[in-house]
Amino acid sequence: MSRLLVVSPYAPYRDGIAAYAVQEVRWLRAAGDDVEVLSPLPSAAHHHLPLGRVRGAVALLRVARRYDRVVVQYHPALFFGRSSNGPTALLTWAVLVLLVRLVPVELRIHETNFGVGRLPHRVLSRRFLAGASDRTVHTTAERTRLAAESGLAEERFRLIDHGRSFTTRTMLDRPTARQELGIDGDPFVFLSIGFLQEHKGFDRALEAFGRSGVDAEYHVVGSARVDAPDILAHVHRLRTLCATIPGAFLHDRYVSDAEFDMWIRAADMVVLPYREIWSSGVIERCALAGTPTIVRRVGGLEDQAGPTTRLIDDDDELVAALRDAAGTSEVADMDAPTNRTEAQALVRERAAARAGVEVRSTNEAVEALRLLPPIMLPLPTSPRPWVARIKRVIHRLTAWQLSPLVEQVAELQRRTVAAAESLDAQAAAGSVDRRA
Amino acid sequence: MTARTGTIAFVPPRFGAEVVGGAEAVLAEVAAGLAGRGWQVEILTTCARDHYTWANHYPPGVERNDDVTVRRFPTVVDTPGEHRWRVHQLISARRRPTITEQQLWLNDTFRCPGLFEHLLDHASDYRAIVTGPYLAWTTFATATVAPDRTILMPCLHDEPEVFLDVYEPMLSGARGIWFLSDPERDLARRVVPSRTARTEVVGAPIVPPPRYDPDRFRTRHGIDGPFVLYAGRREAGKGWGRLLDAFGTAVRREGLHLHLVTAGVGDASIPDDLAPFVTDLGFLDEDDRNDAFAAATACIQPSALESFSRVVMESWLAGTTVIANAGSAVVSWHVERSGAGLTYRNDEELVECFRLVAEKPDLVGSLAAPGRDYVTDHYLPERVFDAMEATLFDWTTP
Repeated sequence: MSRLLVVSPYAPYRDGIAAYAVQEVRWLRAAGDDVEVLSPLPSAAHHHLPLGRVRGAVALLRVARRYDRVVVQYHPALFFGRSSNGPTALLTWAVLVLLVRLVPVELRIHETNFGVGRLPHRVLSRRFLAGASDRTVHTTAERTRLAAESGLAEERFRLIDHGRSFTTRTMLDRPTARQELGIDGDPFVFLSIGFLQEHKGFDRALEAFGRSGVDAEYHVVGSARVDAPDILAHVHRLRTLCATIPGAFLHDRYVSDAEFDMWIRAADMVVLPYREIWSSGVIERCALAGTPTIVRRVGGLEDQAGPTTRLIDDDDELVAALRDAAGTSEVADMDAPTNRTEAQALVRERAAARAGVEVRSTNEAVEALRLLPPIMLPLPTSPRPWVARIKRVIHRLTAWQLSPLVEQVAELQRRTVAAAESLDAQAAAGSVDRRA
Repeated sequence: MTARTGTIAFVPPRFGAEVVGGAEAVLAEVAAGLAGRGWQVEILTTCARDHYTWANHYPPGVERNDDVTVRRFPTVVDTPGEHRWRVHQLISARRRPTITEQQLWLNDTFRCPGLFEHLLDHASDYRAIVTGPYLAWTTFATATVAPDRTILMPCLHDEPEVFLDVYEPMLSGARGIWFLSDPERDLARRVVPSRTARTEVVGAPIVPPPRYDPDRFRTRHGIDGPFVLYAGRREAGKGWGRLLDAFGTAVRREGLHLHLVTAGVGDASIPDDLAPFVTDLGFLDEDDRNDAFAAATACIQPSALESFSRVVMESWLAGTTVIANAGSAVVSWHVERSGAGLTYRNDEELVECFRLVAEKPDLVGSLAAPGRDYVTDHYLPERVFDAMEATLFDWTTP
């Protein structure tokens, strides 16, 4: 029995890599390994370290030495936060190179930043990659790309089945799942599911569904992970599309794992129209449930495709695939342009539609204001007692000056939101131009 | 009768004779009750006793507690609380934290990796895993690792936290939910309007004490004359501070001749000028506590955040009237259904309730008459366990 440390985002955080890690940990433990987990944030893991900082990576060196091997669920944000460049990133790469020299490290590569940045960064990242005892990816496309980026031979990247440790999280059959989810009648059901982000391409699938004219339902299920303006705008666009396309529904909700699988079980066809992706856990969950998929040929998805997957390259093929799936391939494409004028008009119409939802309404501006984090003095606390003591001393020395300023700015924020809400209310009543 | 096969796990955040907490008490009683009916029952819990520090008090490992196996796992408390404070500030400012902020908030408290690990390895060994209350890290972690076997006893409160996005998958993804009252179920429907798990209002089991001895209580603690009782945690969230303020108004401004007796954990923080009118008995054993209910003229329930309120039931069983904060939909529902008490909507109404107790103690005492029947009609253990077992047979398989 080997003593093993898994380094990964971890439950109860809910994201794709955390879910993947939980399933792999369960699988490894069942296979007899003595597994502990280290996560970048406090979680159900045994340890947590601020891995996005150099000191976190250095601390990882100390922890990792206690184990026979280390499995890293690698994606750039795990060690580098938002930036893989700059002197801090260079130091982090240096520490990671030390890590792979100290202890056998297996890299489960989900996304990469190898071979990017300045020369020293590229050199160190390649040494890190080359020094790992094992490097796994889920698809041949990922392997080819990584080999090109790193200069390592393709054979040094091992392919593993993305879904090897996955288990289904619902026992329901399709009729019962539909009943649970409130899908009445017996419609043909298309589904796109996951966090609502533009790169998932759910909007293009809805547009294709609208063009296809098929007699079916299209359900988009998921939620915005962060309230960034571009993501809010994207969700707004999805909502607008669903409001205008008959049979299209947006379930803007943060669904449970069981409900996630229930939707997949309830669907006749799951559509993955991604604009960009490395590999997808949804395909594997569909395979578990026996639900066929329509998948855009992007990243490594072609390699993940099974016998019930239909691969597409563009939106026209998506329309055709939707029609074939629902058995309505004879329906004419009402929106398809037949000449340049119509094509130009279609281009302009679609662009205007997109611009229309991206332009901030007063309502969205109010929402953005509400989302501004409140200004506040940092809490004088720390898990290290001596740091907490120092913070309390600093707090006492400075609070008399800083607190009034903070309160003033907080009041300013409150009043700005209130004023914007008032403007929005007036606009809704028609007395103010919303775009003013 | 369907066979009672398979093991039922209960996951309270704390477990033990010295643990004070409504949700923990309910889960412990249900676990013991179902074990008494022939179920294999395990308690999976932390080593903590104190919910302020979550410090490890009980030793980790396996122990036997009557018919129940108890597995304890150490807590980890190593975060400074900045994320909880930040999200609290956001909520106070009527802003919605992002999902990432909410997840940081959830984990910025005690955590229990050993318990999570045990569930990861053994969840499929259990027929059902009953867990609550909803704010506890243990509850969220359980529902994350084994939603298809999780029966939530969420003990929801109508507070801003319950509307955080992170709780939606927990409430919608669980195998089922046991609610303690109709208003709690209504609240869940407001939290997750689109879809919730299978649900049943089962209530909480209340065991009538074999006897009461109010005279012994008065003699033992040197208490004479009519008094109002507050039994519970002395915390702002439970309404203790406002109760004390209103009581101060009643005796200082209104000059009422009344005594307040309080029992429970937490710092009572009684102002010096109120000390002659308030008696703090601290933590009482069960018999003494029951006698206190019987001796009181009225029992005060000042908390607006209740999912069931055991003290209300205990008070009625003892034949004592309840004076309750109308801000709690659940307690108002109990009082309206039973007719065995009064509710107040603000401090002035509470002061008037105090006046009634001081001036018409017999009248106030007589209001309790229908209370005992209300409890025995709805919340005797046999009735509650029957309802729980029916759902276990319906929702789960061995």
